[in-house]
Amino acid sequence: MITLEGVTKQFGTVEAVRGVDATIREGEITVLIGPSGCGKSTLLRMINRMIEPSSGRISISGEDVRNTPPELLRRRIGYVIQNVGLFPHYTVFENISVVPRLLGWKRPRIEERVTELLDLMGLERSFAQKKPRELSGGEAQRVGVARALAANPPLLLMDEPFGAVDPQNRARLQTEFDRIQKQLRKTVVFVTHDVEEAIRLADRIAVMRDGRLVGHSSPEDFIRQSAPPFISEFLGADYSLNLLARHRLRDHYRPTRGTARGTGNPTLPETASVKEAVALLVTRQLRELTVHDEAGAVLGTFTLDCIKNLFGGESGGS
Amino acid sequence: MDREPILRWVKTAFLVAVFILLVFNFHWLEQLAPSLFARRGIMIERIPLPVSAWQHIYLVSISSFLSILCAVFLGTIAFFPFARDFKELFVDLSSLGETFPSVAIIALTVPVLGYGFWPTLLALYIYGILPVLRNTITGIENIDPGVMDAASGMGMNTGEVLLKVALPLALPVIIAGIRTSVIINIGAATIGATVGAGGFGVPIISGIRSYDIALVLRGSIPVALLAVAADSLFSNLEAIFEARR
Ligand SMILES: Nc1ncnc2c1ncn2[C@@H]1O[C@H](COP(=O)(O)OP(=O)(O)O)[C@@H](O)[C@H]1O
Ligand SMILES: [Mg+2]
Repeated sequence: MITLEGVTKQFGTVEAVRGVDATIREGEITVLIGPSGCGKSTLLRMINRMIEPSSGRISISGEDVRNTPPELLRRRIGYVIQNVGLFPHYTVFENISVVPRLLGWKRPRIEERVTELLDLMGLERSFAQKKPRELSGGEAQRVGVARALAANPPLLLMDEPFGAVDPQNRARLQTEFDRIQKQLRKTVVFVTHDVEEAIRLADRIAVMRDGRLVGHSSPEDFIRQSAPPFISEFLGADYSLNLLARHRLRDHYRPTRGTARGTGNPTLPETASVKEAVALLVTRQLRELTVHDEAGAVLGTFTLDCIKNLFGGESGGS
Repeated sequence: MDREPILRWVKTAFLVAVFILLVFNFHWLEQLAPSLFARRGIMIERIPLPVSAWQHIYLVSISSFLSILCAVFLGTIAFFPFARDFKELFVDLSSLGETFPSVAIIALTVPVLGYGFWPTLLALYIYGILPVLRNTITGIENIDPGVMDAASGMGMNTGEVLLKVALPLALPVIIAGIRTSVIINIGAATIGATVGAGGFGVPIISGIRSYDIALVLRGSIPVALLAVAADSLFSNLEAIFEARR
């Protein structure tokens, strides 16, 4: 758990971060989002002491970060940045083993760990001997993540890690990262200015504006508890629709008893997203559709009623 | 290995070989073009060319070696946060220094150290620092900021960032600076002859004094060849470290 108390950073006359109080939960991805220049990177970099706050206190698991020398602190915190920053004179193997070597790991342990990470990131083992310039943007970014995970830090700081990758590859990286995170359950602080990326990855979204933290909650809560105008505007009018992509049909259908064949409704598998289901309803001008499991057996029906709790939770009496 | 790097080294070896052959057998050239090398004016006691070559190379090697050590040291110091103010000063001084003729530096060192080897060595040393220092500083400054950020973000301390990341990545640029420095000093060392430091400057200077073109060529051809050979050598080294990045 990371606790920020009145954290402020002043660069000369510019107040980059102003009195941020927040608690970042363990094992979750907290996405720090906001327009460019609002202080996201500055706030992130204060956590691993790349920048020292002008005032305020940051603690990790109750321990003030100032109690640990910066180098030692950083070796325990994974760090991924937008332009990857792979060391061009090192091979992929050497890049990934930077922190383990700083920590004095023995060679066999490092080799084992690098192989493990290449597998985890879906990279061929032969990549170990490549130089960064032989990698594509997406591959380099995967190596960047592997390098940050090398010494198995409980905390990961990521500053627009997929920002420099083309949209198609970015979507793939996000999906993969989501999968890896479900496995590893790291505490992640993830900076982005891309709302869709936030929706795809976040357990919690923290919205910043002009150095202040103006909203901090689960992605759904921004809609349930009508957010202030700035936040709604920043998240976009289609935010609620995009949010539906986070939810699977399996959690949002009305089960039918027995079989309900012959309705003539289109069907979707329970693994489809609610967004897909709504899109289907809209394009076919329907009120309901049928949900089936992988074997094709009918599970129930989906109507817009099934998701009213998602957004109207407070007033809708769930 | 590609053929190109091999060809580069062949060229370097060829230049070095020509230089050595010429230094030991300059009379071949004199026989090849007797009219050009016809002796004019008064006979002047000749120092054997190999001796001049040795004096010249000795002077340049020692001064360049010391310059490089000092420049890389200063450039490294400038990397540390506390020296941020020095950095600008170093770069400005380097640029200023290069507009300052080396003759003037030699002239200034003579009153301090007298005539001969030492004032020339000191002048070449000071003069040689400048390009290396400037390139060390700019070479480190021009490294991708993301790489430097990642290095300290991973938990390297300043020394580790410097030794494992900054210097290796700046190396090609530093070698380019060394190349400039050595080439300049090979030329500037001829002026050492005016204050009695020996080298290829001796035949050149006495040739000029006695209107003896043959004598001037006897110093200037080897010195030019030496410069070209050194240039070729350092550009090869630069290419090696460039490729390793
Ligand atoms: N090292 C610095 N020196 C001076 N100003 C800075 C520095 N770093 C950031 N800033 C300023 O602080 C503000 C926030 O920057 P940053 O945290 O990088 O924003 P974001 O990551 O949200 O785009 C900006 O106005 C930026 O110009
Ligand atoms: Mg930023």
